[in-house]
Amino acid sequence: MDRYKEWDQKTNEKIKKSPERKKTFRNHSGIDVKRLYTPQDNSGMDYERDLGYPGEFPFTRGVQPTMYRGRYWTMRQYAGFGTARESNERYRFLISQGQKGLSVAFDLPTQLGYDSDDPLAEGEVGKVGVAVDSLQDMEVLFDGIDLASISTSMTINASAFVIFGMYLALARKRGISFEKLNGTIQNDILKEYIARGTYIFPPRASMRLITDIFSYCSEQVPNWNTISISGYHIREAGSTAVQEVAFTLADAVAYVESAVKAGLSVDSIAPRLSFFFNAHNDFFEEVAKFRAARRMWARIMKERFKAEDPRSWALRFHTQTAGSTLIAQQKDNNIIRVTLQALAAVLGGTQSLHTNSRDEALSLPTEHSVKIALRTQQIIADESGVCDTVDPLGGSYYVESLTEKIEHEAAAYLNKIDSMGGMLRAIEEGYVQREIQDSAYDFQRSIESGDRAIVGLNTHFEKEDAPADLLKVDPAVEGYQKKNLTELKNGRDNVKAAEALEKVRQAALGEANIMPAVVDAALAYVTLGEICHSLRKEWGEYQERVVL
Amino acid sequence: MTDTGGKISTLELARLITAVENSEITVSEACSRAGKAENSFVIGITGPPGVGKSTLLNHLIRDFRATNRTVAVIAVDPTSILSGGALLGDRIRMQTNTGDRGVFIRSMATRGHLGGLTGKTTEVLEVLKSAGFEMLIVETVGVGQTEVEVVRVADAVVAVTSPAHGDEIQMMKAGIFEIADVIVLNKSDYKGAENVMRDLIRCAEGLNRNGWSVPVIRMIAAEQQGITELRESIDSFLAQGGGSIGKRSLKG
Amino acid sequence: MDKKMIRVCVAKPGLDGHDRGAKVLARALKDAGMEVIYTGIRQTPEQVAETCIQEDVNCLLLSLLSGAHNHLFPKITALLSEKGRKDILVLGGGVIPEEDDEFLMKSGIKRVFHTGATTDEIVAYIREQIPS
Repeated sequence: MDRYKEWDQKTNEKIKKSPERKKTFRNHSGIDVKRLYTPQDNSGMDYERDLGYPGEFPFTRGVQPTMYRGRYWTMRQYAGFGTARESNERYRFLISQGQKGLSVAFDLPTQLGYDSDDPLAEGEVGKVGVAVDSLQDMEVLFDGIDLASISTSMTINASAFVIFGMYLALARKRGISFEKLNGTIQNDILKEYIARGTYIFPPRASMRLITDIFSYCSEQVPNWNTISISGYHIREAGSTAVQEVAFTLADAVAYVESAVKAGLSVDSIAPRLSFFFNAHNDFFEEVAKFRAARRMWARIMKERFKAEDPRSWALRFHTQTAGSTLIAQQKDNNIIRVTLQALAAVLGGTQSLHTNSRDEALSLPTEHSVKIALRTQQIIADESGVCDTVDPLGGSYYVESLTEKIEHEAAAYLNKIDSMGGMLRAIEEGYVQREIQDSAYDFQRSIESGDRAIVGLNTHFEKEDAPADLLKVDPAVEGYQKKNLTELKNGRDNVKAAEALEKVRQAALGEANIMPAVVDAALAYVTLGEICHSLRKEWGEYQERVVL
Repeated sequence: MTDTGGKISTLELARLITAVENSEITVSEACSRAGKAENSFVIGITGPPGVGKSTLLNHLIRDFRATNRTVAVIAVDPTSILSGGALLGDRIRMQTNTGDRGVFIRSMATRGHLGGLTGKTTEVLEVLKSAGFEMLIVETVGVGQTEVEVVRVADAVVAVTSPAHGDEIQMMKAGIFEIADVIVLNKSDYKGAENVMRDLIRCAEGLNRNGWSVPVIRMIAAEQQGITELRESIDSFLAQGGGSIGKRSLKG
Repeated sequence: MDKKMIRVCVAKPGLDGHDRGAKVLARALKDAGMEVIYTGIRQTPEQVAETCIQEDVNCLLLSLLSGAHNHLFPKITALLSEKGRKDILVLGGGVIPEEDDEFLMKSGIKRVFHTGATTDEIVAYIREQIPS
């Protein structure tokens, strides 16, 4: 009899007398976690085929050969609120604290293509991000910041074509060549339909805007990441880790297919695709998730899409720690949660990282809280030693077994989605949303039943006073933006603006790439709302497929 | 006040419906309080869940309004047998312009009545008629045999199907198309739509009666395609006498 | 069957698309035997009020995570009173700092549930407030 079985039997005898804490141990994805992992659990694994070497196919161990021995991940704190001026100050502060990349948060009206003076924007202006109505706001937002030396990530999706157009317009005005621009736009509409909710147009028009950006950038802005395919929000909506990987990759497949259908070659667009994942609480499951996603993507690109450029195979990703795990009670404990999540992202080989601030279950973070979150990353990088070797958890029986398991289960989802006719169909059918909601509901029940412990919430709770030092966005922002808009519309050359807007509309109705017309319109100070409103009239608006 | 010719406010109407639903008053009393019925038509819209009925309906409401008719909708959803509760979740896509007194939307749970219609649906329809609404739409889910109930109350029945996961085959089995005056193939840009379309056209030919040939409308509701055609088909069916043409042996 | 049914509207006013909490709650209320009308995201105050009137609900749950609650919640309660439904039990939830509770309660929100409130708690509260 083999030694493992012998040990297992002996242990099972023992636990009859002193039982384990739980009957079954299960991670977020519902995968049963065994008492012990041994080489037997990795018996199907072939090192060269399944793990390989960092920087090489299938990239399980990382996308660069030296990983953090070369340089650390980009520490990138998502920030933005109120007016462009206030956000600009926060960016300059972050840069002065050692941050290398900017990550711009826009307010909801901007994300939805409404100007600050739109009735639907009432009460929302400047609340969850900065309000940008025209190139004028963009000029202030990046005042004193050199676009050629900073990488700028922008969380913008449905209205990405306009905001990116304004960014390009700003570069043109400052005489910076597009080739020097570095950064990312999120530009991921499918996850908006699934999980995040800031969509504008119906699927067909939305997909066309995205492929226009792919094609425009491959010629004009070669170092720009044209999309950040996001599992983050899918996870925040309550999915499991397996679903996060599966649905993100299914979205990615849909984008590549749509680009190929539009006549673009896989290798001309794939190297500029980037990804965005969530770092949740279950430490090893998360590390395995990142590794599984990398391996799956490499295989999909090479085998399914026949990509030949190794850069097309490599899944590069940004990570944000899970906002939904933060709790309002004993908020300082969130610092520790974020630390563990960030560590999982680093051990999973992330290219950039945002760490949430302790007060985000209550409001936008204060400057002090943001600083602690940034310092958390710096401590992991400089003090913990985890950056000294590549993929330190590679070869762990447990982690490799989990990596394999997550890949297997996510692949089953991908097959199912293919059989439904692709991701767009699966979303229209409500399948994806329903899967996520079922998980979200189960997760909530498991907290309420006490199966899942959350310190400060259903265990170790204590009475405390309401926290006082929260950030408040000045409600005057709305009035300020409105006043600026009126002045802008009175001061600009309105004939020129109207002509530029009409050209955008014409491009939208025709076959030509829409981006050149959008950049010109931005330069003519046509507003975001004017452009989106004009296209809403032509294309209509997406209507939510409510799935309960 | 409603601009429907009725004499009661939206609030009062909503309360009357609750009272009828809860059997607190008789339907005739509710009707006399609601007002005096105008010339009205009842349209049943039926089809399996996920087929896109609500998106279709939302556009249809807008189209009826654009042709100057008032619209009331009853959306019927199943009550959970286990808890007695119900999720009436499709409301969002049926919200057009607020402040438009010419549209009234009410969700009803089946409350223990098997099948597509609640026991109270007919009574609530009467109240809405008395309140002066012209186009009354009943939306039901499911493809069960009892779905055929729609026909008892409707002047026109629209059956909605899609090329996805065999909706059309299930509906044929359940006899839904046999009660249809208009057939809609939604999501007609899906793979396999052409085959389904052919089947539906063949099926529709067998349903022709007394000069009415049942049209099959190609629709992509999400992209707003095919809505006007649907509205025009309903109108011309009603203009030719609606439920009184042919198949109404079930009625009454 | 003829006992008074609790009808609840779960609404997402404002522009944020974070509907996880609202949907989980809608499901929990259904499992507790209530009839739940879920509005979907991005509802204007007028739409929310109109839904409550037409659907004749006895309870309204507002969920908002964008920070616009102090602006939007009072608008909704004002519309409800204006339209003659001051009696509806209106509850708030989402990302709402406790320091805003007082203002919201003065504007007609009966109670605010903060991050971490359980669905069981909310169900129990509604049952206590609306005896059937």
